[in-house]
Amino acid sequence: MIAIPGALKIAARSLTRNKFYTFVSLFGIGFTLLVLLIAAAFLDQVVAPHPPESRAARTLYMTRTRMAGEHSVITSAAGFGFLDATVRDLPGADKVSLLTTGESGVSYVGGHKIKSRVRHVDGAFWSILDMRFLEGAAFTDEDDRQARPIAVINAATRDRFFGGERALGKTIEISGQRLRVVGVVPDVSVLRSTICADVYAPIGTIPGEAWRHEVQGNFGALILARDARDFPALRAELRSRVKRFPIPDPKNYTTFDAPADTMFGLAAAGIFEGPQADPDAPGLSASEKLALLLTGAALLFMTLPAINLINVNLSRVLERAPEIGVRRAFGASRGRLVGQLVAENVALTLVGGVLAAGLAAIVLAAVTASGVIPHAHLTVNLRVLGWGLLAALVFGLLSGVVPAWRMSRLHPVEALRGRAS
Amino acid sequence: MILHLLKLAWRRKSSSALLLVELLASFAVVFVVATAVVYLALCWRLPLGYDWRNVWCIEVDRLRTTDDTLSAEELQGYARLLREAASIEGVAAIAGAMDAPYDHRSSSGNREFGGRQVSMQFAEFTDRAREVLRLELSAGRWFEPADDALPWTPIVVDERFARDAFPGEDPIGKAFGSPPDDPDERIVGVVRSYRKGGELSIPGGNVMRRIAIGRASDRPPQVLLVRADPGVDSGFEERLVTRLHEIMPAWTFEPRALGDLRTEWFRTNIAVLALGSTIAGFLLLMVALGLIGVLWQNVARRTREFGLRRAAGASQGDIRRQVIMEVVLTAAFALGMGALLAAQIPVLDIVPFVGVGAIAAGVAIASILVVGTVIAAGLYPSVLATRIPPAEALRDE
Repeated sequence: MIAIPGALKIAARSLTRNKFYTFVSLFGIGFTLLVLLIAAAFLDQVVAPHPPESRAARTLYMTRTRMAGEHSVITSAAGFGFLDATVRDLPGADKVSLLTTGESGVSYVGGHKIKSRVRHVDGAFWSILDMRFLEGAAFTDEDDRQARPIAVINAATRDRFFGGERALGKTIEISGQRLRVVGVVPDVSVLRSTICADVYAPIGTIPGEAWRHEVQGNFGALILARDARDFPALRAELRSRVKRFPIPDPKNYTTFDAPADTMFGLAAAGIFEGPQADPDAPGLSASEKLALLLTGAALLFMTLPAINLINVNLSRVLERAPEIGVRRAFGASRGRLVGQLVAENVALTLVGGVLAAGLAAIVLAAVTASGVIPHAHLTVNLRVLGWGLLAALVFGLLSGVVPAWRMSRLHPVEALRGRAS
Repeated sequence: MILHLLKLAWRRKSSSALLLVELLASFAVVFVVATAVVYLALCWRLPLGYDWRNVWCIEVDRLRTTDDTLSAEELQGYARLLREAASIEGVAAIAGAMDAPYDHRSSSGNREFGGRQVSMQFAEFTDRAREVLRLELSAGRWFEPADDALPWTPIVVDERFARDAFPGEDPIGKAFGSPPDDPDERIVGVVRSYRKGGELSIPGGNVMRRIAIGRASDRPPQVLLVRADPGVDSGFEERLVTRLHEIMPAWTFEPRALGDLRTEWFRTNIAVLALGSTIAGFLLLMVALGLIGVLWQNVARRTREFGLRRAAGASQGDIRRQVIMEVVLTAAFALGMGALLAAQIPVLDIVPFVGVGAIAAGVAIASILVVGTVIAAGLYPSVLATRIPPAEALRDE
């Protein structure tokens, strides 16, 4: 066993002895972890549960359907007709919401153009999300059935239309439709692409009737399970229902799929599209592939900095050869010395990690403030910090083991004379 | 002297090996970024083939995305839109299309011509698209209303596609190989170029199909392209969209100036390059700092060797050159390996669209930057190597 306090004391002393090496190491570690932390923060913003999607961990998203035949494949969002018939009353689900993929709406207020992303949703949408209301309240399934011309808008839209004044009860005109504002909600990051919108209106207000019967169209569904463990059962039921659903053009199309998956699974299926899009199929699922790919990319990115750190550490170890020699001569075992050196390196990496976390917070705050990604709120939260810690440990071990092993092989007598090579 | 230095490096091969791997990895990083930058700069100089100034792209949302057939009244609606919008004040020409320059959509495919696989991008236009985009016709003719009566669909291709598919032949009148159950398609004209993805896009052949408005089998256009008269006022866009909405109240119209789309698209591309270059730059700086550390230690351990050389008559400059040359030689070795690996890209055709020129330039830039970094990192340690007087150095134990 290594006596931890003692090891730390030695580590601190050796780190402060040659400040240049310490600086070089910290620069490399800090920069590497900074890049990884920022990447993790973006990923977190896209796939992890955040309010209003606090229940994302037990929500299945259905955003794509795929109709395939011998000659062609159509990949598209689902149609309302299909979702209404097969998904809306899915047994075993806690709640199901149908919603559109988001349409563009254009308004002109006082000669200025205002572009809004309009999403048509049902009443259940508001009970699956835990949306905080700044003004008013959500609309209901009854409002949707009656096609009442009302809307919930986000804070940015309130600013654009009413200059930040209270919007409740006022009317906005979007793409020729007049909607009365019944609620105002905080802005949702555009990175939450399934649910974000500037204006939410009842599905019933979509003009025309054609959309009611479409199999593929511009709709998706949120399926809230009582527990994430229900996912396979829900998906099995969904699959059998989709299978029973009559394909509109059986001459040209023979299969119809409508996969439901978590946010991460959907992102993965988007990258590795194909038969593996079914998450319950045997073999590596798309999510697992994406996880492997991300891990591989992180490790690949760490390679150059790790080699650099190994080189620096080797030099530092050689500089400390006399110390090693003394400790070996006084009976310290090889394992103990290796442990000491690896621990030193991991400690240094963790210090670099703390620096990186501070820098990442500054960079992410700047990105958030710049408004490059509308309404994004990028932060180093605990989850991101956890991933960063893991990366730091891997990095520390990766770059610490080789020099430690080299040093432990030094012959005590040679080392004492400072003749290590 | 180089042979002697090589021998010295060989003696320390285990530590040199790690240094070699590090320099090779740095070379790889810089090479990838540099090649991308050079390649895109070369793309930038190719002709675009159209004029995006004063053009608006209006996204038509019929609130149904994949339903490709239109009702009779919707078909009439399209015809009316194109007809009536042409007379709106400030509109010079209007056309329907499947996608617009600088947007993110694209449709591409591969077909076999005379035993060669030719890849191409597809576009679909109504008759007046040539006027709207100012496409430069280099042979044959563009689409015209009389084409409605043809039993086949007219196709216009760009020069690059004509070269790829029919090298040395006149493409006009050639059949565009289509599946047997499709109506026939024939090439009627050639335009100079149509790089829909913009100045930084990967060049490739283009095939443009005519959309016959009113024919139920044709897919309806997704966007309207409008060329405005020069010097239209800022209210033009609003007037245009309001008027379109009056003509077809059930649809929504989202207008965007192509110039704005272009700026936005450009910013995204530059941001990606800038991010890549910044990361590569920091990695190189990190490698430089690491090298200083390694060389510093290396020099400190060899005090006696340098002392001996000084005593034997070597000048300070000789010692300095030796320290730098040693590490430059290691770098040269790494660069040689890197260049060999880079040469596999054109040989194995790994990234077919990037030419040998861009790869060679990437190798050259990466080599210069890595060698420069190594020399810069070696300067301070090489000075250290000569700081201790020979007599003292020899006494050092």
